[in-house]
Amino acid sequence: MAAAIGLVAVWQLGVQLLAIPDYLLPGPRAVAATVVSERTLIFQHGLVTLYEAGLGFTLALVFAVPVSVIIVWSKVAEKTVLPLMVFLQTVPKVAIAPLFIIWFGFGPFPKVLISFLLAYFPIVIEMVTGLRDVNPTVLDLARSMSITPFQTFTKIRIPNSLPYLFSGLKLGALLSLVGAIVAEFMGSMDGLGYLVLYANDRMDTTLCFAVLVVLLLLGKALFSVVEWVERYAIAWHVVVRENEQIMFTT
Amino acid sequence: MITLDGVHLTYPHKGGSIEALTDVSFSAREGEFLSIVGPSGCGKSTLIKIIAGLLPTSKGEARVDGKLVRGPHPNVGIVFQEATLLAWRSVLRNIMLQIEVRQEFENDAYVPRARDLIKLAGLDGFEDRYPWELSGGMQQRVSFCRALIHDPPLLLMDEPFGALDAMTRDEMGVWLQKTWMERARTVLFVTHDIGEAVFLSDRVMVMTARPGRVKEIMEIDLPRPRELRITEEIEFVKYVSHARRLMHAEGYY
Repeated sequence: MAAAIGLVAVWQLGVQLLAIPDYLLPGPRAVAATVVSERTLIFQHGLVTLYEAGLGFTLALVFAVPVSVIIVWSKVAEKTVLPLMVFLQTVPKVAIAPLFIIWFGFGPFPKVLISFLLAYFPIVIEMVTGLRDVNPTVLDLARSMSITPFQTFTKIRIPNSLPYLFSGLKLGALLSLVGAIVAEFMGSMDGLGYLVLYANDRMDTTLCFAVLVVLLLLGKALFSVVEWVERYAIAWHVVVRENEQIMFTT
Repeated sequence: MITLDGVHLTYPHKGGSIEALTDVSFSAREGEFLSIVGPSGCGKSTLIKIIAGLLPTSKGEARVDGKLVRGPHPNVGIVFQEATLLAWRSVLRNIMLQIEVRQEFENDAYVPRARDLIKLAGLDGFEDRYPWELSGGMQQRVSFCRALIHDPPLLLMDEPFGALDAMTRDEMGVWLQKTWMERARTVLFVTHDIGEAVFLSDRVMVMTARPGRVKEIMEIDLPRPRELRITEEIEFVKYVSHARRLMHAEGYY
């Protein structure tokens, strides 16, 4: 936080002392003023981006959780679905975004799709790791109780995977926003990505920065929402993690 | 209660195979406290897994209550060296896991029993605490409660005090003896600590390593209840040094 305030102060001072014109690098005061004066415009476009990213992220979550369970449950899925996913992941999503515009037009759908495609992968990878990473002695203990394969998931593997799932979700939330913006760059009539291009075309660097600041805040907000849910959903893990940090730093 | 007859266990390793257990035969009487001591690598933990039905033998057979062990069976409770508590479950719910998972029990009927065990383990007031809030010794006592909740006639313990400090270890030993004397059940107790084995057991089985085989089974004829100060008495020391010599005779420490 202190670092952020320091950075803004240096930025404002630098711009003033070096007399940099606004179209090259506007100072934070000018940017803040634009955020306020253009709030209606930014808000409207922000809602569009938030909708696309939110939907992409939600779909990613809904898709990733059962797929991860299936991958760990079934040897066949582990040997087919997972390698296929990793292979597809090597294709740069950003490069196929223009294709989606051709196929699906300028509406929100291709944006949601790109957003989804960027967000689901880290969620699957993290959750699969969490489902597998169970202490073998715990599994021995469970087997001695004649546990069923289904119970192994409901009572042990799935709860065990939740801390991993949440770190996947934090990454996924940020990537879903990136996906929506990139898709908007490729072709759209609204959204914050569109607004950035629009401002650039008119050499309105201050508006461009204003949108970037809002994007930054939006990303932070999405991240915080996931963190907040995590705190309630898996308090048993969050508290331990924080205690460890305290022990580590003192 | 437990009978092992000519048990061999080999497992593949780097192309060849390793013999973990060779011709292990012994039996434990109903209600007996039998310890298994030996150097690391003698297969004592493997024995526990075989009796629990977690590991099949390569040759020979294991019987519990006259029934051939073919897989996990209901009449057993296990305590491992690690407490292996589930971090997302409270103390009470960790103990109840055993009941929830085993289909043959009525869930709610066991909650009062779990509370009694918690009291017995000196964990009064900790029912709703989570594992990270407990010390290592307390966690291990919770795992004892979990092993006892369904009142199994057979208790298997694999170095249950191995991860505890010396003080806690002594306390836990006295506590375990008390618990066992109140409700005598057959206990198989694996440890590498000879003193601990002699202190707790009716008989001590000494094993040697690579491959693991039974060297001798010693009868421990000391009156119960035993108190910690018995460890300083001459008979006790004799048992310990005899067991130690058996292990050293093979060149292991």
